[in-house]
Amino acid sequence: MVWKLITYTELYTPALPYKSTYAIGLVENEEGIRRVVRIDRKFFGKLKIGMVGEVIESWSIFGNIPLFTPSGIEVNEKKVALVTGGARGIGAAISLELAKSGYLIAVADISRDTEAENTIKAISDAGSKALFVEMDVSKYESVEEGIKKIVSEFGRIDVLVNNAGITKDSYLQRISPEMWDAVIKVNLTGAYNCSRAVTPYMIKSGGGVIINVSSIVGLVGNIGQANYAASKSGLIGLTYTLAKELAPYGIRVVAIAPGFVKTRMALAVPTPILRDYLRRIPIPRLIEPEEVAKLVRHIVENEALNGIVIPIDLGTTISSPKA
Amino acid sequence: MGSELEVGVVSAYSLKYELRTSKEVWDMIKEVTEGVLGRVDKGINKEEIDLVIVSNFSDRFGGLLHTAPLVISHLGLNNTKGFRVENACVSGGTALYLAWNFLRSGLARNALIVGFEKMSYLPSSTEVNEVLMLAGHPDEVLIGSPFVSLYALIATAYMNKYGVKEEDLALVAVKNHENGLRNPLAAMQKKISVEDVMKSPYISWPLKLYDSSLITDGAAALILSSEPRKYTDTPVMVKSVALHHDHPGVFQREDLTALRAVKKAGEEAYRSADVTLRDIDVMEVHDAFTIAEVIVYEMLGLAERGKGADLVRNGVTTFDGEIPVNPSGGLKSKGHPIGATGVGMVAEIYWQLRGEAGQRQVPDAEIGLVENHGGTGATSVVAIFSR
Repeated sequence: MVWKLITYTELYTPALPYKSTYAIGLVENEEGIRRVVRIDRKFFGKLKIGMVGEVIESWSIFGNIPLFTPSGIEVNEKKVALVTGGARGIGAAISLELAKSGYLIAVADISRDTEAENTIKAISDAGSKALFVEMDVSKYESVEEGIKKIVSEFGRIDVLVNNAGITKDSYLQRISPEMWDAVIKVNLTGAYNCSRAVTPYMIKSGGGVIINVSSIVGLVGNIGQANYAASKSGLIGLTYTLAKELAPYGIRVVAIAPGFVKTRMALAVPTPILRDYLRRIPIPRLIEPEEVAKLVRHIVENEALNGIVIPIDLGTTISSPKA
Repeated sequence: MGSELEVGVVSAYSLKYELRTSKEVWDMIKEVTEGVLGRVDKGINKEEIDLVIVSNFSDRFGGLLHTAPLVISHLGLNNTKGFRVENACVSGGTALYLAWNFLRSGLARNALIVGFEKMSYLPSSTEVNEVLMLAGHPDEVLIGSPFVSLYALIATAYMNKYGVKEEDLALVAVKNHENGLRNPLAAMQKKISVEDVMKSPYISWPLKLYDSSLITDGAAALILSSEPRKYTDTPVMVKSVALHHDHPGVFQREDLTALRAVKKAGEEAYRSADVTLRDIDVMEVHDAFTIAEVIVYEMLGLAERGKGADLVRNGVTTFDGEIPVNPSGGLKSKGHPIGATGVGMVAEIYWQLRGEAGQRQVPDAEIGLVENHGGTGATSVVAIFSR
């Protein structure tokens, strides 16, 4: 049966008991029968009075909900991922992996260097499109400007990977306030800045995924990394909180906690320390950036994952004594 | 009709409405009860109160039920009858309707109406909206349609039909906030501009935060009497109270842009009071959302269909206009503590007609109208009062 939309609203404030946003419409069939229906939030911004479509009954624990799907609306537009620190290391691998699964990629990084050029080329070689955004995640204005640029170029942002991170390792007494602040500002404040700037766009387009790249160090601590460990633990608290706050808008928030990944950052750790670490974990090797990227892709695709920290650590968290 | 008694309001009292009160709900009830009894010009012996009607939407907003005997016992009354009324946002208007009918038919002589709601009793607006939503049609409740979304369905249809813009609706919010600045009882005394409204976030497109009334704590009380001059030389007479219904579900209504209950109640109220719109000097109407006030104008005959917003733009319903609407600030600025709302509207008209409205006094107001509705207009009460 054909139903015509006679009025509608896009509900941006999640309603209980469903903890969700959606559109609501009134539809009418040829016999003049009217119904109040729910419309999936993926149609936000695309609805018009007079549209026709079909109504199906969708099961819920509260009862069957009439769901209207307008016909002939293109909702399969390309999805967009923003990866901070996306030019190099784990970020580059994530950018490429998501590009391969069809995402347009906004590569945000502090400067457009050779590594950035290589990543951009790899993305376009993989058949997708990359936009480089020069962004200092520690500065809100820079983040806001970058995100506006992405939205004006690609129209939306569906995935945010808060990956940008730095280390300034030392023992507590030798961590200067500047070293402390620098790490916290990039690793933790950066994730806050990007999450805050991107969520209004995600809400408008009906949802999204935020992935915070934490670290095993944020779970178990590590000598000589008080600033880094604190920033990575901070990301976990941010993840738990935003996962609760943003779920009703269709935004999932998940953290991953990699062990030592074969990147320049890990290889900067003094070799004796790294060797000692590997002796103590069940699978004594470094993780490949591509392995982390695959996990990110899985999180993006698996809509049941929310508000958790997923270690990808070759067994570091079960090693004894703890690494 | 000739044998019916004349009924007047002889006292009114209201707490300042608040977004989050520190008062316990029982203390709010006691305060307005004692306040209204203490403000009768010639005094009233509380034993003379033979009817108590409590207006309260939900026990989720205060944690109390069965409140009429609480009030009666608190006052130490022996033969007084009482009950609670719930008719969604028009619980207060319904209390008035019942009290008026009890008194004019001689079933009681003096009625105490107490309206209250402590909406901050629930921790979040999302939970508040879940409770409010239950006043809709079951089909609307099932899919999860908070009231803002139902009014948004009406607004979308209205804007589409009449070419009205979001900016036009915003004018109502600006006017009522301007009025609220003059009302010490208003919960949100804040001047806003059309730009502020337009910049406020969408709650349910096309309605924004500033198109919406306030989730509020508040209590108000009235005393009505069928021997009003025994208690004051200047009662405010209840000329008529009309109550009508429409289909509860927006989807059930032939014309999505009309509030039929308001229209019917308005027509009956004018007719029974033997007045016309031209006689009305001041109105308090149910601006739960900006679109509601615009449509109420049209239902009460102030404007042609589709032209409601023009009244604000042309200054007809502003404070110094031809017919000021919501000089109190309305639900938008004064606040909307559900059970207290309709009671507070009558209190406002009582003060206006007695010349006691302070800075917000409409000069020489002799006849006033209250329009209070519930749900998306499934029930409406329109009442007319005179000096």
